[in-house]
Amino acid sequence: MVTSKKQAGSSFRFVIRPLRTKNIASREIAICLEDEISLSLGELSLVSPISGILIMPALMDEAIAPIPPDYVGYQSSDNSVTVGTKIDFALWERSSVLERLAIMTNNVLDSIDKIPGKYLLDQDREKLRVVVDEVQSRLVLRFTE
Amino acid sequence: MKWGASIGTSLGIVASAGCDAGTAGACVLANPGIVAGMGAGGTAVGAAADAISDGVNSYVHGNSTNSNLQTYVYELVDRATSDTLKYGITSEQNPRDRYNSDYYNANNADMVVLGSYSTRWMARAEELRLNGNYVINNGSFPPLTFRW
Repeated sequence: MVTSKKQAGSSFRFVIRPLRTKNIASREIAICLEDEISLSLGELSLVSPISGILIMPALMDEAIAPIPPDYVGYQSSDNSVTVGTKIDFALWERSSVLERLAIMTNNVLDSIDKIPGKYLLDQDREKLRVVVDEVQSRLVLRFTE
Repeated sequence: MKWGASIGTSLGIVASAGCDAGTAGACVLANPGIVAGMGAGGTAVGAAADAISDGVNSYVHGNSTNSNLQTYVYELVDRATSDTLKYGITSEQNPRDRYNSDYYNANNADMVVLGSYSTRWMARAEELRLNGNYVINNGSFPPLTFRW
């Protein structure tokens, strides 16, 4: 178990920064997801020992750089867990905005599931999953207005 | 001749040198028009680039084992404005290891992978070219650049 640099829900950092190649647009969707999730987290009380999660979906064109392997790692320097899982580049390229939102959301949910229980307690994992699902629903409405 | 000196005397030369160094990987001259038009302003760029060049030389000569590591060249960009915050290289198998969440959060930064090279030296050369072009256009290094 990670020793406690305990964080209340309001100060828990949830950061989504796609690792992408120059030719891929993903910024707006990631910004919307991260901002909305962060807002919702302010209302939650989390009890896990970590103080932040950094999700870095790999959204990369292999013609430019090789895709790094999927990754889960604990960073003691800021008591956070980083998770990175590949997104299918070809699928992303041919998807609509709403489909891309779904792809990114699924990647975030998968990433949350990959965090070991000693860092993210199951009760918090479930809260985060609910928040992400709610955020996706809100963003679908916003994107279709 | 050091690369920096060649920047100071002839931008055309450095543009070629930078790209020659990286051609085995994926070097592309991003903005030849700007580079060709630099003129006298190259002196300051040259001095800065000399420092980078020294770093390249010492790395290649001093650590030949690591010089064959595949290396990513990346750009940190402001997630709101897309402005360049830094150019860098990392030989981590997973470039995500380069920074933690606090760093991304504090700097509002995204990492964009610009390319990868089969040796660290070639990645350094590309980093030099990118920083040189940035200085030419902006008069200083990107804001998060480590100062040599």
